[in-house]
Amino acid sequence: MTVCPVGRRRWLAGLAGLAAAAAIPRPASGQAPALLTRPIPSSGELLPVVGLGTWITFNVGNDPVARDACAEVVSAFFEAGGRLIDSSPMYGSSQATIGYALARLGHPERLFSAEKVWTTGAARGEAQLEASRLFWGVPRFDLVQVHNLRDWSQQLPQLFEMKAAGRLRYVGITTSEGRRHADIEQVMNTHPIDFVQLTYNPLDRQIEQRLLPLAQQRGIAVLVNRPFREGALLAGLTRRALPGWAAEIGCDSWAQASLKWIVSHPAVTCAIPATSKVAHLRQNMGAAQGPLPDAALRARIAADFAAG
Amino acid sequence: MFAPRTYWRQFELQNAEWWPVHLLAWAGTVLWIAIGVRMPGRDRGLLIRVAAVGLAALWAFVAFTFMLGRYAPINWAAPGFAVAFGLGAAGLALLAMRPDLGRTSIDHHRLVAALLLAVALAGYPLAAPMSGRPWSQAELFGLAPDPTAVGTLGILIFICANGAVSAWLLRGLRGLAAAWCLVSMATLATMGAGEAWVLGTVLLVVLALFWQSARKRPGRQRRER
Repeated sequence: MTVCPVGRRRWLAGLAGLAAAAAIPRPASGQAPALLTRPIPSSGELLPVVGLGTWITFNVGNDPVARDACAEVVSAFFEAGGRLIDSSPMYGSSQATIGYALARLGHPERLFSAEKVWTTGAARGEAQLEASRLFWGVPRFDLVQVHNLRDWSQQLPQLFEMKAAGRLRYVGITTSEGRRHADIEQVMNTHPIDFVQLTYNPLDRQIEQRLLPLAQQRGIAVLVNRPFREGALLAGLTRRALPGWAAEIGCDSWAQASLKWIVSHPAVTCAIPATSKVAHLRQNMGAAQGPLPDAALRARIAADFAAG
Repeated sequence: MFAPRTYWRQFELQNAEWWPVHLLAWAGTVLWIAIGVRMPGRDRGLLIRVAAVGLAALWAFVAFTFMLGRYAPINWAAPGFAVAFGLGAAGLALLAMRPDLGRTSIDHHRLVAALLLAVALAGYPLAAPMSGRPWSQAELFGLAPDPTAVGTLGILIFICANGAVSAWLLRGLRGLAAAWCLVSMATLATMGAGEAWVLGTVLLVVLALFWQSARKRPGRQRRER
């Protein structure tokens, strides 16, 4: 049985009449929808399994219209119960855009800020983090990660010192597109990091072999980047009807299917899809609700993505 | 990295902020061409110096307003591009001071120069609607780096130099303009933008032109005042 095809475009056409007004609403006070959560192993703190990435999508420069649109995305994110927002100095003006959005929204307490240090030298790393903090307008970051392992031997010790001093709460490392997994594994084995950020989706599954099991063994939370391969994962599937399993897990789009597949792995703490559209944001957050696929269904889903 | 829509929005914002500077650049260039066609040979040196000064002003303008003002917030390499355009402005200002410049007498050089100017002044504005973008996002000579570089290449091909210093300065400026075309072509190709083909064609034509000229040395180009 196939579910009626609902690609992103048709889903969005249905929302065309709900185009946002110029005013950016603050997140509604009171209860956010109940989202699936996972604990951060090192502390037990719960995080919703879907967060918000800002690579490319929030790099909008000095465009006031685009910045307001991003602020609407952040507002919708918090309304939907989201917490973790991830950025980096490498992402151009994304940090400034986040800061703009947070200021417009009155700095929601629910925010879990995830940043990165992306430079060489401990002194430069500290200065870069301070500059990032000023962009966000937060007193401190919850999580700071060494971006793409850049100068990790200098940056990690400093981050651990800052954590001990209470200047940040969690320490992590990142890589993307399957690069440097051997180095990542070495750091995971030898340093008490709290988080590791990796690429994982139904087509990029390398980390299942060693890194995800190692993260579980070592008690390291896993953030997942590139859940859609920057859109390439979904591009060939928009005209293809969702198979019958979509109804079993409450999915109405291939994007939600990918996210549910990702977060259904027990080692994954949170996936961080990036978007600049409120409709896509709500679709993504929908993956953090309802049932998740079991191992057998995960295999079927992965096969369908591969066949796409 | 940035999304293509973010990239094209920078031109829309640039055009809106600096309207009608591009009209001045466009009109000035057309007037320069019209005067140059009618001007006696002995007076063309002055016209060439006016062109060099005008181009220097445009390169400085693009460096400051676009590279630093618009592009730098989304591309961390843009401050370096601003420096390159600033150097280009300085080089063009130096060129304007050279006493040994003239108009090339080689017909196909003049033809290529005219074609590049046509691309810069008319082709680029048309590229926006032809690519499905609004007119407001058109890249304009004098406001945007690509048509400014292409138009500059055209004018620099039109110019020739008799002395060694001026010749090297001219080659360096042509190389700088061509280098920008290459950098921008790579960016546009990454975005899958059709304008990458425009710059690729420009570069091929210019390379072919100077390859042919280099093969005909050691004789110098005839200079016509």
